[in-house]
Amino acid sequence: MATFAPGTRVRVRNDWPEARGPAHIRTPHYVRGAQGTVVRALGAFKNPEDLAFARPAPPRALYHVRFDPEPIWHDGRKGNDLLVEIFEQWLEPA
Amino acid sequence: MAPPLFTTVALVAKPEDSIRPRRLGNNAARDESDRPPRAAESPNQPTRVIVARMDQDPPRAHHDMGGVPKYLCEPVDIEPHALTDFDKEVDALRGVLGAKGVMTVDELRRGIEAIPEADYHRLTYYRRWIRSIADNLLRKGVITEAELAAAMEQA
Amino acid sequence: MMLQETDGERLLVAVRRLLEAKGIASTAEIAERIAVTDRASPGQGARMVARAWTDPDYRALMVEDGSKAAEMLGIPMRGMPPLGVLQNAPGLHHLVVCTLCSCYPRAVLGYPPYWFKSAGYRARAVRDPRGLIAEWGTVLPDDTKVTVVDSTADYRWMVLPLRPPGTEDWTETQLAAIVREGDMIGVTVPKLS
Repeated sequence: MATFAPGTRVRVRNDWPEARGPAHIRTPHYVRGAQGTVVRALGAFKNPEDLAFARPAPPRALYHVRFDPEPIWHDGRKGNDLLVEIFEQWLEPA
Repeated sequence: MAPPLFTTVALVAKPEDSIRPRRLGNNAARDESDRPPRAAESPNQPTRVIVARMDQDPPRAHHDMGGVPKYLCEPVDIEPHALTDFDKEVDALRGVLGAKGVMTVDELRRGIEAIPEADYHRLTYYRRWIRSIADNLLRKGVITEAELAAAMEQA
Repeated sequence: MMLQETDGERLLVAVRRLLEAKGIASTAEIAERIAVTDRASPGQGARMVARAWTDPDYRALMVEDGSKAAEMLGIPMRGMPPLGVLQNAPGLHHLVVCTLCSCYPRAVLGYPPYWFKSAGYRARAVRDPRGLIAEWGTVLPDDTKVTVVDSTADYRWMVLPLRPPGTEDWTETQLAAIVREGDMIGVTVPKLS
């Protein structure tokens, strides 16, 4: 998988594994399909999606990604932003 | 100028564009205004009929609660609530099982998330934990249903 | 067997009895675990904050490697998730949440409080942080940016809050005494009492 450098614009995949069967997903619903900016790499950690089912869990790169809340909520609130830890397999270049 | 509220819309789109369901996994009032129709980038791109997004509720898991409208008016009880002995024992039990490699915190979470929605909200926090712990121990064959039933009788 | 048993107490007793009999988890091990967990409290995090307020090198370490900074003050971090520290600044305030469950920097703050685990907190933090922290009476200047940090993976996050004015000649002990649990999650800001 590509490494995302700080400052890279990324999109969170608009995927819903929950719809296909039992799943344990740590990518919150509200960022799926959203665009954000990589702040930094946080290291590599075993994939919780696999650990949750006692499957072999390869380490995956984890990123801190910043999102503008307005395109997510459309609430018109200003002056906030969101930082979310997202695993590499959920990110693609925007 | 607000775009019209369509129920079905025919757009010309790139084939790899996916229909993007709204990320608010709840039947909040539908507003089509966040995705105005885009012009095709090439006249040879196929036409797609895009069904109303209100028919595509994304399958948000019920524990995935960030920003979910029905909880936005929930008051928050900011008072400290001391943990009971039950709470601390359940918490410690999970920790011991984790330290011994019997059950990970990820498995704990999965088990909690699998609790049906009504029960999830009715059960208090550590009651969700003990239910998930028991579920995981059963699934892994660490304990059997018969053993658990017998132990419950005596409890 | 359908685990619809709502009597959590009975389920705990039954599970504990079985695990003890099978040599998997003993009463002593559970008691020891409780004792270890009880040693963590917001006072641990407060000591880190007080040190950071008075020592710029420690502040830099805390932001760079929170786990190492905790260990430097004798807080046990072995086997614990990595600690991330979110540094507030004039015009920048952080708020920590776990929308998916209740991930909390337990090693430095102890057990998560009731409100942190509640539906209202988990739903509102990422969408209306100012409205949420107003429940604690916390009002930030209009031009302060609020960055909400959703703990979705392996890190556990704490806030390094702003040092209140009027504490310039205070000792670390005095400073640590005014840093509360809520200040290190972002629902409150440290105040002189």
